[in-house]
Amino acid sequence: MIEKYKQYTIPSIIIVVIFTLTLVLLKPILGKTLSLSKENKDNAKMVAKLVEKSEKLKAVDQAEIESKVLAVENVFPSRKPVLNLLASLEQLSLDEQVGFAGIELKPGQIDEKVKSKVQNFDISFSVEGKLNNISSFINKLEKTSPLMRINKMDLNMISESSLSSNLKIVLLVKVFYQLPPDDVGKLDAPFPILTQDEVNIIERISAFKSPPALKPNAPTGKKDFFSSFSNDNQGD
Amino acid sequence: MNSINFLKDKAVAIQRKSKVIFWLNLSSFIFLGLYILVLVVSFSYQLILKKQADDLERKFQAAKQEVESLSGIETKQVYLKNKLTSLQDILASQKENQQITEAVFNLIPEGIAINGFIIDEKGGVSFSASSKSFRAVKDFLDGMESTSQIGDLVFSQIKIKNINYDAEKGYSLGIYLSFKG
Repeated sequence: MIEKYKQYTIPSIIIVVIFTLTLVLLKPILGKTLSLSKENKDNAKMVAKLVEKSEKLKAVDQAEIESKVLAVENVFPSRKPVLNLLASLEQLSLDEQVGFAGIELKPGQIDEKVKSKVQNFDISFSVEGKLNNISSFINKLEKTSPLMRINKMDLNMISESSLSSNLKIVLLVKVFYQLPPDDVGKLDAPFPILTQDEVNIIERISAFKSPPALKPNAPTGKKDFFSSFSNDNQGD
Repeated sequence: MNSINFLKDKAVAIQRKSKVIFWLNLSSFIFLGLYILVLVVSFSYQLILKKQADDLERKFQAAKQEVESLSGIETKQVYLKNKLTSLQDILASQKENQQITEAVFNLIPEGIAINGFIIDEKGGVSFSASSKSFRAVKDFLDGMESTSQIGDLVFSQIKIKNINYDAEKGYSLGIYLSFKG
């Protein structure tokens, strides 16, 4: 009986060897190979993305982007622009020859939960002058930094002869600002390209009227506006 | 006398069996050989992939370092993108306010006094117009009636809320205007 099965010894041993090798070697090798292959594919994509991103970053004109940031920051600041606002309104009323009075500022609080969203506060004031001057003042108000939007307007004409007499207008204006984004996104996030509409906006706001520069007497704030981001990135 | 040789059949059967066993053993070895070849190829492929992974890791670190060294530019661009997205909406709503103001100023003729001119948050305009001259009031109303559009602004509603007459103060009208879009 044993003799009968002895002749199948070699194939049997080979089957056992193959089975054992499959469990001990082939299965782990195949598993590792598959995971490495997937990892390599993902990493190759990631490297391609990073290389493309660094090419785009290198192609950016540093001076140009800085001037764009300054233009945007001037009109749509990252901090509540109270002093600049007052200076702008005063300057505009002088330029447009209207009397500027009765200012009421409601600066409110920064909503920390929605840091990246638009923040605003209300200001109401009255101006007095001729219809043409007031019309021009209203027209230029929304083209003056910081960014403002007339929300409500209350005009009282003092006499029937509208063009020659003085008018008084009370304006409720919303003033806008926005805190800078907290982070620059993921490392492999695509480099954000500005659309033509956005470039047009920068051109449009570059023509906004700015108040004369206010120089603080005491040292204030950071010298480098973006310093916190650079430090954060290095820390990561 | 015929004889039957059973030994010959057995010898053939044994020969056939040993041939089968030979082929079975041979094919087992061939199979083992092929299996070992697959094993070696798989292992080699794994080594190649490991080397590729190391190369990619080096390239990744280099690219990462380069992107990080340019993070100042990226920060500024993200800042611009973020702010410009918000600016788009604000500027669009601004344009409307200016147009409304200009449109209504253009509607007011000489001889009409305007009081309580208010643009509300929805862009609707309400005001009261007064004049001692009936002719001026009529011209003003005719002008409003015949105007359906000023510039890009199309009126959706011109509502005269009230008309009063006072012997001393003359005529006064409460007016509300709203615009399409």
